[in-house]
Amino acid sequence: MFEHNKTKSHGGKFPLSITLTSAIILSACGGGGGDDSGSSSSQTGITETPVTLAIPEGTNVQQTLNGAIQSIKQIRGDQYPVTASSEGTTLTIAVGDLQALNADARFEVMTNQNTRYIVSVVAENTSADALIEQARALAESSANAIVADDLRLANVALELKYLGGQITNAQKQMSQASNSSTVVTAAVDLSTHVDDITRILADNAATESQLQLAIDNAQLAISDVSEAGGAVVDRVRLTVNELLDTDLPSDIDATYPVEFVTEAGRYSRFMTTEFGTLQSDGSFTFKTEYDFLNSVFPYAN
Amino acid sequence: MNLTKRTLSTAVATALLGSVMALPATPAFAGQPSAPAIEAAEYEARLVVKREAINDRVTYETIKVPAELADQKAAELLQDPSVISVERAQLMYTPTPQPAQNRSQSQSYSQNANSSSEAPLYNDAMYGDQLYFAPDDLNNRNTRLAETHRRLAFDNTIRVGIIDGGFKRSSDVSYEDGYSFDHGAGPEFYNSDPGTTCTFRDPSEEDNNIHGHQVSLVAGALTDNAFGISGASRNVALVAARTAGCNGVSFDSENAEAVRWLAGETDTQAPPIEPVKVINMSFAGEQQCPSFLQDAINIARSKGIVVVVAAGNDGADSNNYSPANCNGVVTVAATRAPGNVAGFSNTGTNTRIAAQGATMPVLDGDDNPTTISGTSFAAPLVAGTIAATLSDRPNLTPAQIDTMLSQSGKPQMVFEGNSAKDIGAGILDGMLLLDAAGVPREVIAAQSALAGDREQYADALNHPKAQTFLANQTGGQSACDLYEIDGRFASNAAQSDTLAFFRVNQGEPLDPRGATAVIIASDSDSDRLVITQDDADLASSYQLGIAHCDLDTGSNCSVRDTIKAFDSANLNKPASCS
Repeated sequence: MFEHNKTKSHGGKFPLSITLTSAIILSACGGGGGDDSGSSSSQTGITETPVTLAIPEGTNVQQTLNGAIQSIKQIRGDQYPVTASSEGTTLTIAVGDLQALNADARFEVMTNQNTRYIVSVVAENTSADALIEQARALAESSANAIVADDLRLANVALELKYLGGQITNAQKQMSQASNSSTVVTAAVDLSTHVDDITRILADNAATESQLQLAIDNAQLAISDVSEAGGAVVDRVRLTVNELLDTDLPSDIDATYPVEFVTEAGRYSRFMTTEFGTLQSDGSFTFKTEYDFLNSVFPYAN
Repeated sequence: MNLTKRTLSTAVATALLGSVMALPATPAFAGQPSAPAIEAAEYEARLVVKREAINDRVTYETIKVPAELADQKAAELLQDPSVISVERAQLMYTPTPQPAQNRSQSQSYSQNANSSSEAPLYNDAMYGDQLYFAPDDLNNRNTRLAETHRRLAFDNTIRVGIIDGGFKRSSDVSYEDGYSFDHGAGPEFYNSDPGTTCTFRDPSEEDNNIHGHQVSLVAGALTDNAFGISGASRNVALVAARTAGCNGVSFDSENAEAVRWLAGETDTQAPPIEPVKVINMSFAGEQQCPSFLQDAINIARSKGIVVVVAAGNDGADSNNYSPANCNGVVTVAATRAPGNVAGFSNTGTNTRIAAQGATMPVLDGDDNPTTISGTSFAAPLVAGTIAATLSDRPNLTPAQIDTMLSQSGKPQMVFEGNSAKDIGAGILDGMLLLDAAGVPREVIAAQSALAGDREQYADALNHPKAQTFLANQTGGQSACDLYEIDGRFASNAAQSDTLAFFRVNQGEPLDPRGATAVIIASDSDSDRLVITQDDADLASSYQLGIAHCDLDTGSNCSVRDTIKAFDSANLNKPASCS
């Protein structure tokens, strides 16, 4: 999703809600009694209790179970730093520092009260959250999307020059073609990096370092595209400066390179505090001296 | 993907809460006809088992168990190390359509709306009531499908999947394929087919739910057949994926399976089919997006399929409703014809775009005209418009469509005392969507400089700074005072020919080389030319003309094909100029 990928809040809410959930379930089970919620008995008389915990890396979770823990068997995920240990009725799940982007483990825990807990652990690589957000945006970006603002601003300036009689339509079209060519030429390597990132995101065994390396490599390509977009703006800078109260600098890319704006889920060199204010919904309001830009960009107020 | 994992943890938590409390997800709205469905959910649980298969493939299986045995079964399944997860499916609802409007009210919209003398594009009986086809003079707030369709040849058939329930045979809809995933699973999918069942309804009421039928009408009704309505796209091949029963309720496990089926996956209960290009899901459930549904959407998206969903009808935050809160979907809110957001429409930061979803002309169960409202019908309007775009640009990816949608919205109308709602890019404008897709506009010999593909920059070109700029360059004219002459009307013009705007005396031949001819503006190396209002005002005293021909020799200058009269009286200025 390019502009409206606003699921960050979901990630932020998870640990607390899941912890509460696990507390409810396990304590209900620990309370004993035949009408425990979240469990049922098989014909063998064993009470089966599936449980899922989402645990951030570098943390432990302890739970009191129904009965003294007799055995712990790992069913799945022994390649991850997720361990289960016990003392009496207390089960401890520990998640170490994760390299994997996706890590899940599962344990079968038997107690002396004939209760079998199947504990599924979704280990959360919280340190990779921002990385993944950026990777996803990159995976769905094209060169034109990265410098969309630059191309749009240039188009508006060229239209004004054409309507004002400074250039002919043929000259306008040549300039637009040149701008497009500049960006396409600079983006030769970008698609390769985007493909790499897409592949890594889809790989369940991928690691944080692999993704970081792919993004770092892509960043060089993004810088090339940013520079190309800056060149596009520089070609119309004099016209644009007639429409602003504060001039854009020459070689705009050196001063304001394109960056990924997390809150807006898009790339821009203009969505900075220098130019205006980012709103909570991802829209942007340009300062008075740049008010013309409020009318240029669809995301601006 | 990590995001899938995040969704998994929430979905499993939801499922676990469900198992603890033995209740399905809270219905999204009051008055839904699903009390029997809730009862059934209490008695039967559906577990979606996600497994690792050979060659790193992932498979999905839905297992039905008595609700009281759900946790036992889940525990048994989870002892298999190849099982990745077990999630309990939740109920999803087709958002309650708002009551059918009195048709006379619908007519009053028509009467107060567009007064264009333009001939109707289609001969469908209810075409005139479909205000989202009307030109851009309804306060600039509609989808402009007539103009959009005129730019398209519809040479490519676009397959559109409709995941829903309540499909019926009709003279205005045809399906290329279909399957029922529940409520009588099998190849039959019409309400009236003997194989389909309406578990919780009197069989005599089986046609009461025609939600899927009406959604399909909006997206792809048979057009120009002098019957019913015109579809949002032409030349669509509709594929019906029936997951909801006659009460409009489905399980998200079946919806996910239907998404995979429509994406051409082979591990579903239905025979494999050619993938569709667009999927519409007009469902809502107040819950997080379950991981198996997110997986299915990811698969569809990876195959180049655009998934369009309804935001929901609770007037609430669309972030709290699935599938609107799934990643990679186009979540659609509903507006009313004048452009204000419908009060019933969910909105929120995950809403991508809006379209008319109130007082939508459709057919009732007897194929009689009626109207209906709901985000259920805004979504297929967007889905159909995307399909129309794909008919000309079939290789556009979902990510490209996302970008294009972000450039294709128009502001909502906000009445005094109200506040704007978050509807993403705004109200979908089909013309701007085609502009973003690079579909060329119709060549018009002369039009306002703010019309055509320059329309997308209207705000900027009318900004006070731009007005000052243009005034300085043109001797006081603004963008609203400028017209563009387009010489491409002259199919017989050579590249070296001159494009000229000229005048001759009244009563004289319209000839740029004539005795009384005066060239007012010309360009010898371009096929476009800008003239001013002052130039156009000469029409009060002279005949004005446009020529694109060899002015030196006159060899191909002819009113047959390279000379046109310039009729300033018929040049409409955009609403922004009034």
